Amino acid sequence: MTALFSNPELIRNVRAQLRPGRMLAAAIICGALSLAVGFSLAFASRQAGHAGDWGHQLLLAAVTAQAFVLLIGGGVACLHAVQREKDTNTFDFQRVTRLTPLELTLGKLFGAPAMSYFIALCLLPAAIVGAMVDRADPSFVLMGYAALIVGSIAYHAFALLISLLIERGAASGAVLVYLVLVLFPSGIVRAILDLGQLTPFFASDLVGQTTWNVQSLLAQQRVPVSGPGPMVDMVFGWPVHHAFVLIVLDAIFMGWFLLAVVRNIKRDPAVYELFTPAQALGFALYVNLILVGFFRWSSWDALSAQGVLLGLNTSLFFILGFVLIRNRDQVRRLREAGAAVEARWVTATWPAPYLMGGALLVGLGVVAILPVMRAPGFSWDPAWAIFRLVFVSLWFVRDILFLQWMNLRRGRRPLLLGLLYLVVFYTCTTLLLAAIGLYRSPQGMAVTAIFAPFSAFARDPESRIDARSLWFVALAVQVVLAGVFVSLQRRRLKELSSGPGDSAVLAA
Amino acid sequence: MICLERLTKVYDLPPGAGEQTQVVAADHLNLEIPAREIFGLVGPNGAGKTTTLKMICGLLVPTAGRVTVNGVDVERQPEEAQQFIGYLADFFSLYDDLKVWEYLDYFAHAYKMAPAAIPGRIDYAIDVMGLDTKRGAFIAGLSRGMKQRLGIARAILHDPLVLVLDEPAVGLDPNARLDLKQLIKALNHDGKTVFITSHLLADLEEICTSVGIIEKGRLLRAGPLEQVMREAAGARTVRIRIAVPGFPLGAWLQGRPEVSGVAAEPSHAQFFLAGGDADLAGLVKALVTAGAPVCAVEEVTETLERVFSRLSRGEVM
Repeated sequence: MTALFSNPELIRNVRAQLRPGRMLAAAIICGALSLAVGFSLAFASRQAGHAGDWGHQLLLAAVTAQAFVLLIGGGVACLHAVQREKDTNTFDFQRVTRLTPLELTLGKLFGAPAMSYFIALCLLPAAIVGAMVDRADPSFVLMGYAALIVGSIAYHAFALLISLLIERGAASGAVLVYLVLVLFPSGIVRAILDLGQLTPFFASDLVGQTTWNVQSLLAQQRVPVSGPGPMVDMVFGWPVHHAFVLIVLDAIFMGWFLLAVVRNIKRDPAVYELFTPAQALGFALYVNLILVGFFRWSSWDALSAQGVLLGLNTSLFFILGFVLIRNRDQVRRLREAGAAVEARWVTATWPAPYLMGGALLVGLGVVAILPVMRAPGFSWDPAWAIFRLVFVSLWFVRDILFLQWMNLRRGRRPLLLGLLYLVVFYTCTTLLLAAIGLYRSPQGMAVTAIFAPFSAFARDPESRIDARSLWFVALAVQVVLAGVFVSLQRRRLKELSSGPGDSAVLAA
Repeated sequence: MICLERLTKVYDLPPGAGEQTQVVAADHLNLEIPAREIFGLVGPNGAGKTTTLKMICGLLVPTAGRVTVNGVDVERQPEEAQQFIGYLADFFSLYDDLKVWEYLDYFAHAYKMAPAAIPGRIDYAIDVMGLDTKRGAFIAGLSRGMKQRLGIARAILHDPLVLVLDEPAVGLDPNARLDLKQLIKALNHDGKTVFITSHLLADLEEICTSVGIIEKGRLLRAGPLEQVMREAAGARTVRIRIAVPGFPLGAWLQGRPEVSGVAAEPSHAQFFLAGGDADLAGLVKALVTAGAPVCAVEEVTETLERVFSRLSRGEVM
C-alpha cells in the first residue's frame, strides 16, 4: 500500500488533477448538489406524508451518482490514460524510465481517475446522511461500497487495456464501446446465466437490502430478464448472494485485464501480445467456469444447452485466436530464434494447435458435465455433441487461419480487411443458401454447413441422422480449407524469411 | 559503452508505394561506441537515425540483432539498461498541467533515484539548463525553447552514463544552442557517453569525437571524426598561391606523381596530395627550386557537411 501511494505515476496524476482550486470547486459543487437534492427529497417526502423515506432516496441517489462518476468518468479517464500519452509523444519517456510495468500500470489505474475518486468522496457525506436517516444496515452499505469500488477498478482495468490497444484517432469509438459495455451488459447475460446485475450500479440495489438470508431472498425472487437484478445467483445449482459473486468475479476479471496490460505496457506496440497461449487458455477456462457454473439449466434442454455453450465458446475462442494472431514483425523476429520459420509446424499452423486444443478441451468438459446438469426428459446424443464440437472448432480455426494468413500480407490493415471479407462472405452465403431453400431439409442443412456452420447449432436431432454422410463431407471440407490456409501461410512465411538479405556489412 | 550487433529493423511499406515492399531502416548495423565518446549519427531524413536511437533506448524492438548499453542487453533487461540512458526525442510534448519542478520530480522518482539525492539533482538540472526563473511555472506557459531545455533537463536528471539525444537543438535560439554545445561537452568531460543526431552538421563537427554516416539504414562510415574525414577525403587538399603570375603552376603540378585533381588558375592552384607532411614539404621545396614565387601554402580542411554530401552522393566509397 505504501508503495502504491509513493508511485510516481500516481503522484503525477494526483498533482495534475487535484490542484487545490479544482478540489475546492468540485467539493463546492458536490456539496451544493447534495444539499439541494437532500432538501428537495425531504420536502417532497414530508408533503407526501412519508417523512422518513427521503433518507433512503438520498442514499440511493448518492450511491448511484458515485457509481456513475466512478464508472463513466473514471472509465473514460482510463480510456485516455495511455492513448493520449501516445498521441502527445509523452508515453515513450515513461517507457524508458525504470518504472516496472506493474508500477506504471497501477499508477495509471489509480491515477487517471483521481478526480472521479475525489468527486465520489465528496458525495460520501450525502450517502452517510441518507444511510443514517434511513437507518440502513451498515453491512449492506459497506458491502455496496466494496462492490462499487472493486467493480469500478475492474472496469478501469478494462478501459486501460483498451487504451493501450487502440490506434490513433480511435478514442471516440472506444469510448462509445465502453459506454455500451457499462450500461447494457446485464440483459443479454441474464437471458443465459443465473447472474444478477453485473455492473457496479448493483451497489445502489444492495444498500437498501435488509437480509443476507439467501433462502428467504430466493423465495421472494423471480427470475426476470429485465428489471432490478436478483440478489441471489445459482452457482452449480447452489444459491449464493450476488454481492459476493460480483466482487469475486470483478476481482478475477480485474486480474486478467491487469495481466494483459502489465505484459504489454512497456513493450514496442508492434509486438504486443495480450496473453501467452497458456494464459489465453487459462482465461478461456475461467470464462467457461462462469458459463457452466451460472448457466440457466432450467431454461434449456441438454442439446440446446450444448448449442448455447458451444456458441459462446466459439465466440470466446475466436476472440482469443484473434488476440494470438501474429503480424509480420513478430514473424521476422521469430526468424532470429532458429531455423526457417516455415519449416516449424507450430509456426506454420499458428495459432491453430492452441485454439483447437483449447476448444476441444473446454468443449469436451461441457459435454461431460451436461448429462449431470441437463433438464430431464430430453434426448441426449453424446456422439452428435462431440461431432458438432469438432465441426464448429474446425470451422473457427479455419477462419482464424485465414485471418492469420491475411495478417502476414503486406497492407494497411490486413486483419481488418480479413474480418471484413469474412463478414461479407457469411452474409452473402447465408442469404443465397436461404434463398434457394437449403435450410428447409436435413440434407440441405448439411450442405449449408460446408459454407457456413450455423446449422450445426440447430436443435433438431433428426436432421443429422438423415444426412450423416453430408455432414462428414462438410467436416472434410473444413479440414481441406484449413490445410489450404496453412499452405498459404507457409508460403508467406517463406517470403518473409528471405528478406532482408544478408547484405554486405558496411560498418565501423 | 553502446554496442550494436547486426542491428536490423525492417518496416513494411503499404501497397501502392511502388515496387519496393519494405524499407530497411537499420541494416545489420555493427557499431561499438566506447565510453566518454560523443558520437554523432548523421544522415538524411528517413536514413534510420531515429529508428536506431529508439532501438538503443529499448523503445523499438529490432527485427534482428541486439543492443547492449554498459554491457546490459536492452531488450532482455530493459529496466536495467534504461537506468544508464537519458533520452530526448526529436519531437515531444511535456505534461502541460505540471509545474517545472513537479515534472522533474516525477522523472527523478520514475528513474528510482535515491530520495535524498532528488532535490539536489532537480536544482542542478534547473540551474544548468537556465530554468531557475521558471521553476514554479506551469509547463503550459513555457516557450518552445524553454520546453526543449526542460526536455534536456529531464534527460540528464538521473545522471545517466549515456545520453541519447535526437535533434536536441531543434527549437533553441543561437545562445541556447551554444549553451547546449557547452553542456554536452561538459557532460562528456564528466564521463558521459553521448549519442546524438542532428541536421546541424557544423555543430556536430564541433562537439563530436566520433561520427557515423548512415543512409538507407546502412552505415557508410563510422569512427573517430578525423579518421572519417581523412578516409572520406582520400587525400589532403592543398592550395598554393604564387606572388607573380607567369609560372606554369598547373602543368608543373600535373607532372608530379603524388598530385591529382589539379585545378589551376594563373595565380594559384588547388590539388589533392597523397602523403604526409614530409611529402608536402618536399613538394614545396621542389616548387621553389623550380622557380615558382610561392607566397602561401594552405591545407584545405574538409567539413563534415562536405564529407557527408560526397559520401551520400556516392562520390566516395
